[in-house]
This record gives sequence, structure tokens and C-alpha cells, in this order.
Amino acid sequence: MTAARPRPDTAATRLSRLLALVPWLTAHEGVTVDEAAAHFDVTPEQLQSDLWLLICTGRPGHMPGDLVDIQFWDEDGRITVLDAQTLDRPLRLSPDEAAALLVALRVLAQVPGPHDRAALAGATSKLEAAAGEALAGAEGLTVTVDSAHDPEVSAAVTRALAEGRRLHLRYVGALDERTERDVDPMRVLTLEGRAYLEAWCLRAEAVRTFRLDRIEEAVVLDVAAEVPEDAEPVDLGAGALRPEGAPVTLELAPEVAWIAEENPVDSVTDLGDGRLRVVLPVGDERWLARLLLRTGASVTVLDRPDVVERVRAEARAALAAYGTDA
Amino acid sequence: MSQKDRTERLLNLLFALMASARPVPKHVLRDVIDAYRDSPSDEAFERMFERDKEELRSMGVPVETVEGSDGLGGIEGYRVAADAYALPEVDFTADELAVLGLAARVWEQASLGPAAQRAVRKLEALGSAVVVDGPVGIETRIATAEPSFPVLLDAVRHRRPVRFAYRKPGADAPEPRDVQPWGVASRRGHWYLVGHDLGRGAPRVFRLSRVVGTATAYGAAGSYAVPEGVDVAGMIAASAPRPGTLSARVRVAPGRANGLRRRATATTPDGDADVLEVPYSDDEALAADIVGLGAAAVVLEPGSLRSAVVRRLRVAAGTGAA
Repeated sequence: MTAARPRPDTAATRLSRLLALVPWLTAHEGVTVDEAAAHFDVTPEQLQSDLWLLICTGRPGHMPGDLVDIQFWDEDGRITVLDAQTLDRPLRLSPDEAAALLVALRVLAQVPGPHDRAALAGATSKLEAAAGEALAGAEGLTVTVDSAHDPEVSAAVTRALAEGRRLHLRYVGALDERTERDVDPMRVLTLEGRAYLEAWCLRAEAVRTFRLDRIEEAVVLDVAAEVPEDAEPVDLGAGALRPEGAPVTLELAPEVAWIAEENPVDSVTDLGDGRLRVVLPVGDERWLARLLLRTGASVTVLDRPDVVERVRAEARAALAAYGTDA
Repeated sequence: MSQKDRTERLLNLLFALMASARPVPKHVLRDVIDAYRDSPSDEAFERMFERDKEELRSMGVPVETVEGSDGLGGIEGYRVAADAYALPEVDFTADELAVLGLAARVWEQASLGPAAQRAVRKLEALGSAVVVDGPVGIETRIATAEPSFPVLLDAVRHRRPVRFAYRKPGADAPEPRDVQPWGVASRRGHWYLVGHDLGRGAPRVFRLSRVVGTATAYGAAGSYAVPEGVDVAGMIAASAPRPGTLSARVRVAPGRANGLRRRATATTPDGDADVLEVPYSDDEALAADIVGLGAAAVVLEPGSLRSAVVRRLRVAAGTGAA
């Protein structure tokens, strides 16, 4: 995962900030150094150093009337732009910037959720108009998310969220077990191309995420949702979908390399000849047993003899059902 | 050269290019910008200027190259027109600003995250604040963990061929590929590259997670054309396995095998259990799913599927050969 921030500024990053800073300060007269620093996500020292740099530049000649003039040394820390030169307007969007926002808006148009569809359409068309030629940056970049869920389910989930109501769910979990439960919805999450309902589960008395395509039925109840104040939403950073449980170390033959692609893994080591060693977090041992049954000799478990024995026992029990064939 | 000096130089160049309605000749730029005037040689100045000009362009600054009127193809100078520079006025409603805040968060921690942030800052410089953390009951994230993602996206935009090592599923070793990229697309959480495979002389779909190491772009920008009307998403969808035309009968225990139950086209009670009609396309693929269910699912027919399941179960029980 590429970290978005902590690298030091490049000249381009800094220039881009300076060019946005002047019109923003012009539009927010009397803002303080601290407020501006917070808005641009830099330290107040960095912001002051940006302002110093700005007031040393301007049209060639650098006569007094040619320079950017910004006053920011008042005791109250307020900033006043006296002469923005030609920087009073923000620079138009670059292809990368236009693509980032437009593709994101197009994804939001596909995902279920209670967001305002009319505002989404409005923001998209205004942004397209403002982007002009930079719009070409979004060509050749497409994102489609899974729509395998039942439209009635996503409609019920959306309505419950919009109206703040409790939901009754019939749900098939990762282990194929069907459960019925009441939940108080918090958010619709779309992660790794798949939609989830994040909710306070009254049965588990905890925050749970439910894959929308595994919800068989969702009924909006005539009860107001009451998500506890201290209910902790899922952290959407890297590893949001990583199961909480001890990891297992597996060696994968080339034909099951998909295991490393389809699951959140802690590490992958290339062993040569197409074989991989992966460290795979496991939320529920039954899930691992099922994976091992499916994949047979293509997967070697390095550190869990108990699970290996369990898989053997399950396979023997299943063979018994085939009688004489076996 | 420090970052501060370079930032200052770029800013002074931008001012010089915007200050004049007429194109500014290169030698004038060298005279009026301190850092250029101080450059030790003509070559050093040329290199510095070319790099700065490209840097401004990559940020979206419309630096125009104006050719001379002498008909000799010489360059008269450079300029940045104020109306081409400025982001047009856009008047977003409060609800639209909230949606833009949501959109900017989609790429959080992904390679387009900083670009989304810069875009928001520019829009906010028009005067209205994008809602950064609205209580909207929805969050979407797109991850770009594959190291080749930025390289490939850039290659698509600039029409540059790329080279990478690619490991096909089940292959022992990665193979080198040369591709003219047409598009980069994410489908159901996986990134793909679609393009013309030069080695195979045909269009191909590649999964980015199967690229070994990092792709590299080579050759000049604009060195090929993307065919008219290419449907990148459609090509990726078409490369996915299709639903089956075969049918299996599987006996499943009460309340179990719910995933398989949802795939079934018909369910008939049989004592406590149910018999499902399951459409499928490949014995081995369905056998793997059924074996995963252990004793909760037993194949009744066809025989080929039944034998595939039994063979797999023997391997898993440690009593059969792989």
C-alpha cells in the first residue's frame, strides 16, 4: 500500500499548495495562520515559510508593484492578501486530479448507500464541465464494483440508514451458516469492490460487517435504530477486511496461487517454481478447514497439525457418505 | 538545488509566463529569472528550463509553445494565458460539496489519494468548503496496492508500451510480456490491464496482482493508437468464467450448504435433507466447492462429478494420491 502523506514535499507538491493557497486566502480574508495550516494539512511553521516564499516572488523585475503582497505578521496571526498578482484564481485541474475525483464519483454512482444521488449527478456534471481538457485523464481508467447483491436488500438497507430504523436480517455467513438477527445500521461500506453493511448487531452486541450479497432478506423494522455511542466503526485503512485471529503459514502450489489474491494475507514469499509461502490470518478455524478440504494436496500447512488432523477426519466422514464408491 | 529554490524558480517562471500577453522568448526568460541567469552554461540552462516547463505542464499549467511567424519552424516563445490557467468558476451546492468530500476519500491511502486532495484544495480555493467528514452513512475505498498501478496508468495516458514479467495462474515461472496499454480497470476489487500484447499479436487482459515486480514503460509517448470503441470493462468481464450449462444433483443436510443452495435452480425435499439442482461448467471447480462442505453435501449425479469429489476426499483424508 502506498502511503499518501509522510514523504517530504517535492517542489511540485509545494508549488501546487502555493498556487491553491493564494486564492484560498483571498476567498477567506482574515483567516489565521493556524487555520490555514490546518486546512492545508501542514504545520503553522511550514505555512509561514510558504508565505515568505510567496512574497519573494512575482512578475519579472521584482519592483514593489510586481510582487505578491501578503500580510501575516499581525499579533492575532491573521492573514491578509493585499496583492495576489496573477494568482487570484486556482490553477485548473490536472489530468490526474480530474481523474481521481471523477472516477471516484462514478464509483459512488454504482455503490449502494443513502448518499444523495441528485447531488452526485450534479457534482459530476459540474466537475466535468470545470475539468475541460483534463477530463481526458479519466479515459482509460474504469472501476466497476460488484453488484451481485439483491436489489431489494440494498433498497431496504439504504432506507433503514436514511430513516434511522432497525433491520431484521437473514444472513449466510462465511461458513455457510444461516442466521437471523436484528441490527442497527451504521454505514454501507464498499471495500475491495464489494458492498458491506456495517451495523451494531443486537445478537453479538458488537459492530459487525455483513456482505450485502450474503444477505438473503432484509426487513426494515418499525423500530428506531439505537447504535451505542461507543460503537467503534471499522477502521477503513489497509487491512480493514483482515480477519482477527491467529495466522497460519501455508505453502501453495502454483494452481492455488489465487488464495494469496483472494484473501488478505500478512505476507507472501516466492519460493520459486511458482510456489508461494503465505501467512494467512484466520478468523475461524472452520473456514481454514474448508479451504484445505477444497484445495487438497495443493496446500501444505506448515504450523497447524491440529487443523490438518481435523481436515482428515472431516474428509473420512464425508467419504463414508459415498459408501461403496469410496 | 534545494526544494525551496526549485519551488521559487518554478513560481518565478510561472509569473514570467503569465505576465506578458505576448509569448516570452527563452533568452528573455534566462535574463529575468535569477536562477536561470546564474546557470553556468547554455546546456545547464536548457536542461533546467526544459525540466521546469514539463514540471509545470504535468501539474496542469497550460504552457503554450508559440512558433515563430518566419515559417522556419522556430519557436518564438512561451506563454500561459490567464483564462487557460484558471479553474473556471463552479458553484457547488452544499449537498454536492458533501458528495465531493465522499469522493475525495475513495482513494485514501491509494496512489491517486494525493491527486484527489489537490483537486479538492483547488475547488475549495474557489470559496466553498468541501465537507470533509459528513455523517452520510456510506464509505467507499479503492485500494491500489499493486506497485505497477501508477506506471500502467501513466502509460495508458501517454500511449507508451510497457514491459513486465507476468505469471499466469498455474504457470511455474513468469514470462516477459510487451503490451500497448489501452486501459486500466478495477472489477470486483481486482485491477486489470487491457491492451495489445505485442508478443502474441492480439488483445489480452492481465491481472495486476500477477505482474511480478514492477512494469516499466518504454518508447516515446503517443507511439500507438487505442482502437476506436474499445470496451475495457467489457473485455475484462468477458475474460471471467461463465456460468455453467451442466447440471448436478446434490443432496445437502438441513440448514447447511447455504451458499450452494443459493446457486441451485431447484430444491426438492428428501426426508430431512434437500436435493439441489446446481448449474455448473467444470467438474473440478464444483467438486472443490462440494468437498469444502464435507459430509453436509453429497453428489448424486453425474458420475464424473461424484468421482471427482471422491478422489479429492481421498486426498484430503490422506488415503489417496494427488
